[in-house]
Amino acid sequence: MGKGESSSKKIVSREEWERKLAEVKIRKEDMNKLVMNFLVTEGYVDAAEKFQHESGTSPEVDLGSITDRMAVRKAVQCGNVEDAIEKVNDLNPEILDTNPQLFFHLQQQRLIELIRSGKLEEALEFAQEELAPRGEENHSFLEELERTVALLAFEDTSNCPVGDLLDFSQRQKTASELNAAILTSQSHEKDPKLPSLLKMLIWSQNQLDEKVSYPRINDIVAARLEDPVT
Amino acid sequence: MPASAVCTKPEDLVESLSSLDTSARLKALRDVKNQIIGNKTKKLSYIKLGAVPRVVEILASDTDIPLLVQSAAAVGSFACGTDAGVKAVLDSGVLPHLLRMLSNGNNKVVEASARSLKMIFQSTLAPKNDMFQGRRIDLILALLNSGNENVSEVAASVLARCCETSEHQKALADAGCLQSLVFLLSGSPKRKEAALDALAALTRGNPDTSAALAATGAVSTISRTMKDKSPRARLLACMCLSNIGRAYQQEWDIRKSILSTVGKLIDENGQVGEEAPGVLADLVANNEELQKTAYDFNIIERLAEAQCSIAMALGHESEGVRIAACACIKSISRSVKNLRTTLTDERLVWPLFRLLNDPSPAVQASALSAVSNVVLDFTPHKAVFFQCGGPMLRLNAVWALRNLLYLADMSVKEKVMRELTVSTLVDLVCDSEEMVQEQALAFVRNLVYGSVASVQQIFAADAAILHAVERQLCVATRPEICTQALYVLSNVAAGNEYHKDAVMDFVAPALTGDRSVSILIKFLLDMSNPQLRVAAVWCISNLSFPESPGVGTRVARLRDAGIQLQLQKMFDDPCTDVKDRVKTTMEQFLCTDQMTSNTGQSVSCRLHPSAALTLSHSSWSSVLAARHKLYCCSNGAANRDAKVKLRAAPWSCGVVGSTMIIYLGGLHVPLSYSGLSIVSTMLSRDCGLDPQVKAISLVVLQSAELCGAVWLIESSIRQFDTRLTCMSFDQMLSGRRGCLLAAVIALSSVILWALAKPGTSVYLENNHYDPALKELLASGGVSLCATVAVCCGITPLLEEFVYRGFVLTSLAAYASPPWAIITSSLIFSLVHFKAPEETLVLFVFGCILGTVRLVAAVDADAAAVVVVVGKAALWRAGDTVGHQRCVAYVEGLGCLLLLLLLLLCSQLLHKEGKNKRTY
Repeated sequence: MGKGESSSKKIVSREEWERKLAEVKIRKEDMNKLVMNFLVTEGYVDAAEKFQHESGTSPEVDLGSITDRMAVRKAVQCGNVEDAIEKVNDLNPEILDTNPQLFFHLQQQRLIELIRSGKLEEALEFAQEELAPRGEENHSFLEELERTVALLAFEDTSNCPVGDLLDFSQRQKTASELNAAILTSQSHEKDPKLPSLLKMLIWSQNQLDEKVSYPRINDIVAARLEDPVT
Repeated sequence: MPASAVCTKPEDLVESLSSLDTSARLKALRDVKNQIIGNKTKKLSYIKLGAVPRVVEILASDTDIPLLVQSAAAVGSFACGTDAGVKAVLDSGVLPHLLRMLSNGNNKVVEASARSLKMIFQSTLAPKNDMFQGRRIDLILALLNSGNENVSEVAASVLARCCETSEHQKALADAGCLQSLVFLLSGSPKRKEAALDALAALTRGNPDTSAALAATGAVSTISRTMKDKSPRARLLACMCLSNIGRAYQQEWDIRKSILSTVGKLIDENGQVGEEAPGVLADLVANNEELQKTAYDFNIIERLAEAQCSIAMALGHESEGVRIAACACIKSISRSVKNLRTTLTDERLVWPLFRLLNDPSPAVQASALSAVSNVVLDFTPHKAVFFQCGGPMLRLNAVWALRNLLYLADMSVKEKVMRELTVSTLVDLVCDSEEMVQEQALAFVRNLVYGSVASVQQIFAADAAILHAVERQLCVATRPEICTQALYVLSNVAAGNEYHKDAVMDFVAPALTGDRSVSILIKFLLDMSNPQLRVAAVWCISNLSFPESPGVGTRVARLRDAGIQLQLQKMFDDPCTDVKDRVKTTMEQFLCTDQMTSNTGQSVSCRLHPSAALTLSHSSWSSVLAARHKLYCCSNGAANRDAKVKLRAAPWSCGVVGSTMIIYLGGLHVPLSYSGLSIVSTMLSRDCGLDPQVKAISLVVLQSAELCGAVWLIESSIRQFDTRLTCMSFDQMLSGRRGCLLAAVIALSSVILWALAKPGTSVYLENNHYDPALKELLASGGVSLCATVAVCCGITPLLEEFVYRGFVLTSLAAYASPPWAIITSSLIFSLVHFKAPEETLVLFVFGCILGTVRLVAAVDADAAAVVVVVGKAALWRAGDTVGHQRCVAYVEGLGCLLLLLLLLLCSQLLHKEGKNKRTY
């Protein structure tokens, strides 16, 4: 970012910057769409319904499908993977049939849940019956499978090298993957647009830093303009 | 948590699929569906248990909505991912039911059945033609216009899969499919992709539908899609535009942007990245400008990076992807040389070769065409293709093998020929397709190019291949075929003497009397294609290549066949290539005439088992040259079976007869018979000459006769413009040390042998035949020396030159070798007629010497010179010491033994002989 060279850079004062920002006109509807996109993608059905009611923005998808999707996601987050699989299959059987990696991850999650609940024999049988053939089909799966089965080897699973698989974050990861797959099958973006806009903001600021000194947004949450460095 | 899936046995589940209780059926159906989705092994095991017909039964007979939806989903899942599943589903006759369900009032049922159909039609096993029967396609078209996004998407993707032939394309376009699909382009991303997919399928390789699509004004929409977020949509858009571009000339800008889009898509992961090269191949195929642009865009480097993905595509389970990857390799390796090196990377080549085994003939054909562009050293076990397969397959296969053999070493050639077999190759050369003929000839051309062993391959199975090539040359009309055939002959003509003569037999057949015009003339006169003329001149050039033993005869025959005359006319041929070649060839003709052969290489050889002779190469070739001189005319065809053949003394029997009469009347009788009396008359000695004077006179007389004979014969055949076949002993006697040395060694060994023989003195004393000789030998040093010189040197040379060299060679051109030998020996013995007994001996010796001469000529080697000179000397020595049959026979046998040994040596030496021109 070369702050040492700041003296040679053009300095834009706070007032000038704000004036320029004010010149940029953004349509209210676009902002609403952005919000709605976030709500829909992230699955906040109730909020989306309310927002639709208040702002009159169309959600562009059947809100009912969001409910289904959220139910699936919730099932995974609760560790009820089998239920999630049935729900996805009812929603669209194509999703799991055409996405072996996702299917494997769901089965893996199911194995993890079995191990977590202490059903070790059942877990072993499940791993042999369901997961082993997938590992044969794809080599990268085999590695993950080995890692998961390693859980069976430890008595104190919370303190073992592969203990992270038992974390809630693992469930969250699987749930997100499933969510994204459902979204894709519904011809919907799998990520909300808002985070990518923020990423773009940071990238543009970094680019700009090399040329000018201006009121930067350092705290994204509060979106406060900092005084330019002179 | 429903644990049923885990607890219930599959057999029981399948059983309950046919349960009478609806809820039990539904539950079993759901369980089965959930178990098989995403699980190939489960699918297969349920198929084995016979679940599919039961599910289809539900689909066909039930009306309950959840049951229909679940069963349709189960059917779709069975059909997804495994060919066995698709087969089971299709065998159960589900298709009509699914199609019927498309018109169901319930949206969910429609969606489920549409999805199932999509799954089924993703497989190559799907009965695509069935969809074009009756009103089915109308049904699909109706769904295409359905308000339900999923349904229209599914309909579009089913169309994309079904539409394969140009009839399909036409039928769909006529049904207004294009408009509906263009309308779908504005829908959701998924629907857009499906629509583009269907559009690409509809326009693939079909200018009519492409033009129709362009007419709908969709081009701008599709062009915009090239900037779509989804890589797949971008790729499909490029496909459509590329298809349209074939129908009519697109703006250059659009083409360039298609190219750059596709180029970037190569980097994409997954299916898109795999298919992009195929689209690229399609796009740049047969368009050099685009190929150049592709190069400018650095697409090639990307491709090189994406090699892995091409390699993966080669192993892709979808037939289409495999074909596309092959086509891509082919297009690119053809257009950009630099890439060829990277393309020959092992990673690419081996999968490519594996595809030669592919079950699908279409993949085999395209793999072969790719292989033909990227061949490396590989095991050509795929030659089997030639026996079966269509002309395209044969063509590409020959093409590939032809390129494989280009500059290949002997082991590869042998391997290929072992696999291919001579008869298959002959069939290919005479194939019904002209393109195959041409490639097969090119294959033969590469096969016989190189070492003598390579050339020898064409002579396998009674030279069946060569005859096939010659037949083609006679009947073929396409200049390309003739060119290749001529190059085959040209390469064969670069082989050894036998090979050259085989070609000679074809291009200038030696027929008795009537001399037909060479077939080459036809090609030399062909002004339509300079390539033909170049090939024909190459052929002549190789035949007349100097420093090969039989070149003199060949040049004479070629000249006789009118080729030299034609070549002279071609000195200012419009084609520079032809001109250069003609020039070189004419120089070779001249060079052959002058017989100047000098190479610095040294070759050592053992000529004689008793006397090791080491000759420098220059003297070696002079021995060769001298042999030509000595025997008047060069040697004819050689046959490994020692079947003696001699041809091509260009002068007729009449010339031989008149020359012989002049020789006998003008030289032999005056000098040999009356020479001594003339000398004595001149010296006015009545009572006889002093032995010394007599001996010296003999030397002078015999030398005079020799010189006279040389001059006479040379001048009598000079009118045939074949100076090469004339002889001048001065060359041999002056600078050619090697030959002289050989002759001297042979002479001295013979003389020593003859003198050391016990009983020689007895013969000398009992010699009743020529007391004059005895007197000469006994009367002092000078006389002895002169007599020996005459009897062992000058006279044998003279006689060999006249009788074997001139008479025998001339006769051999017009009669079979035995007759030629017998006739010349008869003349020889009659001319020397003194007593019946002696004449018989002379006749036998004439035969032996003639055989030696001809056999020696067959296996061209200087050893033969030594033998013949030695033999002549031996015989003359025998003559000197006294005629006796027994001695003569013994010597004759000894001579033949010696000859055999020397032939053996010469065989070995022959292999080292590098007297050929490669091409």
